[in-house]
Amino acid sequence: MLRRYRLGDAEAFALLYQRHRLGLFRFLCGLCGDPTLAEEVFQDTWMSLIRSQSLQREAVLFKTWLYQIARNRLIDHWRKSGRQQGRHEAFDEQLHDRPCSETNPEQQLSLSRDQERLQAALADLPPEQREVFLLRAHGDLELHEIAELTRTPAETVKSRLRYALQKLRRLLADPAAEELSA
Amino acid sequence: MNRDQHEPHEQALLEHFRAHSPAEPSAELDARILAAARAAQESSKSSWNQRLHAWLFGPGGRQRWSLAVAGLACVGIGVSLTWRTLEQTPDNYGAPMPRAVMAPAPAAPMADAEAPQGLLREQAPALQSYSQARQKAEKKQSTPVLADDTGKQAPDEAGVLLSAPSAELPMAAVESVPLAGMAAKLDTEKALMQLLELRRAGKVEEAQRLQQRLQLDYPQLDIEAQLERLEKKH
Repeated sequence: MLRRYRLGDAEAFALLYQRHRLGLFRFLCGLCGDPTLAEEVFQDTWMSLIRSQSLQREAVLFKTWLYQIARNRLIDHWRKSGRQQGRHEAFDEQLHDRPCSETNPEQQLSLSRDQERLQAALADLPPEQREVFLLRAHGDLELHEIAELTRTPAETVKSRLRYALQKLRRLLADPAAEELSA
Repeated sequence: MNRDQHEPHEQALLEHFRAHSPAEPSAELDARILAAARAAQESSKSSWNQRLHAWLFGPGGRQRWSLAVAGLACVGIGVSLTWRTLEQTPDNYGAPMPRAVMAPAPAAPMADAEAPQGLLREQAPALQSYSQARQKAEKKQSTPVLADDTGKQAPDEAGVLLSAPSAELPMAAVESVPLAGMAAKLDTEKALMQLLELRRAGKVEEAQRLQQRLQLDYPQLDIEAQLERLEKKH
């Protein structure tokens, strides 16, 4: 599709944009927690894609490439603004590796639909786990793609996603746990 | 990991998050990005003149100007060289060109290298004058227009030959090349004269070498017949 756009098909870009705009924006929103910054990085990402004359490597999926650009842009922004990205650097993953008691579908349905709670639960995750979860949820990326994008071993990505899911399930099912962690 | 292998509760949670994420880029942002994409597309389709103008007067224009001037100079030199080459090409392509014109002078045979130094010293003046005459003739041939001009002002040997009747020319084959082969004919004439003088002086070996060389350069030339003609003439 990008190749078609580069060859002069303007509609190809519109199609590409429609396909990825929501997922990418939500990924950025979830990652930085600031809709204004997310908009800025989102626009910056697409603009760099428009200005760049290069095509993504054949072996890499366009989606992976796009999310990688966005992620790098956000990291650059954080570096420039001096923000500490790793709020949970001292996070003990073992602490969150407790078996989850709520795994049946009925309990899943009873998860809180309160958006604020979802956002709070997401914000409560360590950045690495949040990133993997968001790439999985909004980018719909496979584990090996996330591993390639974040330059992390696939096993690490797998365990991060598992911990993230466990913690989210726990936080969303038990409001008291969220309050405690806050 | 395959998508189908994902645990159901993981899928449910992911779907839950997808369904309850209200964040969405504003319509204004969408329009801005799509407009930028369209504008980039149109600018890439812009005319050659516009692109050249933008390239020359854009940032870093000084370097680009020098590059453009250098490029134009190269094109100019190329065109000029091509034009000169075309001008020098003979009109009659079908005419056989003398060997001396078509190919560089043949390398000296192995016998030359093995010949005694004394003999070589004896032969040197004759061969040198012959090769000088050849070089001179080649120069004249490469600038026929100039030769023509000089012929008008101070008629040199070439000029004399140009005005001479074609029957006196040494090579029958060369007669079909009216202008381009004139200098070569003069060269041959001189060489034949030298050969005749060498024979008269009794320098048999030297004369033989010069004859061999002449035969190599002009395979169609009947040297003996030409020598007879020259003897009668002088």
